[in-house]
Amino acid sequence: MTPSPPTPLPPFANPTSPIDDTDRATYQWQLWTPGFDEVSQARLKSATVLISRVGGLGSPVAYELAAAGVGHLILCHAGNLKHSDLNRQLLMTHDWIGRPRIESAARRLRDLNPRLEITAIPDNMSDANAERLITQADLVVDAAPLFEERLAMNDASVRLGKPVVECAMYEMQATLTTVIPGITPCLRCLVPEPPKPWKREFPVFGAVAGTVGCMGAMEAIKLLTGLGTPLAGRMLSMDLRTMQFRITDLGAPPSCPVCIAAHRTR
Amino acid sequence: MRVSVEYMSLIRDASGVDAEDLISQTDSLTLADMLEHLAENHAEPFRAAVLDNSGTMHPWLMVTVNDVLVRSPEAILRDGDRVTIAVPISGG
Ligand SMILES: [Zn+2]
Repeated sequence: MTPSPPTPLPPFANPTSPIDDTDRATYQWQLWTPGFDEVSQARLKSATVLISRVGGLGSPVAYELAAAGVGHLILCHAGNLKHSDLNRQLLMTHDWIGRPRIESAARRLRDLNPRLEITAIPDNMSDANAERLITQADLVVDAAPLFEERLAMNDASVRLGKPVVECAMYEMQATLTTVIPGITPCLRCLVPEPPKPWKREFPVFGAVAGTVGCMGAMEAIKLLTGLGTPLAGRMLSMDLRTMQFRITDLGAPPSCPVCIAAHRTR
Repeated sequence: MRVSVEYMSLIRDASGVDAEDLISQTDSLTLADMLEHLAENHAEPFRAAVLDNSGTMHPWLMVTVNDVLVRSPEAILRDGDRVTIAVPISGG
């Protein structure tokens, strides 16, 4: 049982919108990164990323993608803001208590990047809307609290062949992996049904959400542009209590009924 | 044989410890054997966290051996193996 080597992947976004001088000035510091050039920036500008929930995990994902110049974000998040959201949902502010969270998120993202196109969906992801929304995206980031939502989004993403960055957290621990349909195990391969012990509310710090959310955003940037080595088929587990980080090889090829059915129709 | 076992997420909560060593008089153990030994060593809720009522590993349990995910309860463990056990976590 030795870990297999990481799989090289092509960029998941096409550079259809060329960058302009404002982009060159805004993204100057990241354009100095080896392996990331103006075509890479154009890929981000042309990209659509769907983020399922913009709470503790999804807020930093959305903020970092907006900052990096991703052109279009589709954000899904139902419900109104509560005090207990504010330790970690960094796109929310105290003055927005009792008002829709999705509006707060969109407002904060537009302050950061007025060129960003935002499609704000005031619903959570489910079997009813997943395919319709995911078909519009180049890539999906899973930052939802319930495994039912995660599995609905997973199944639709696998059917549509869209990569998914899976961010998760609990207490002072977090995990991150990337699903590439047809190549890596999907979430349902790993978690065939919602784990019964998982509860909607759990202990966590905003800094844990921020850590894995920022890493998830970096993973998305890498996938969209072909930069670096993503966590495809590998899971990063972090324990911020001890600062122990570990990468697990997710082993077997895609094997769940959703992966097998998608492979058959492709 | 000695296997080092590390607990993560809700399994750590159920075990009450971060990590421990499992010592067996045999040369090898299946993953199912290991979970049964650990369940015998711990009070509830640990057993219910890793095994169902029939003593079968929960389908969602994430077990790694030497940093590779292992899904089969029949997988063989040997002296010196490093195991982690977790319930998958979510968010959001
Ligand atoms: Zn699958």
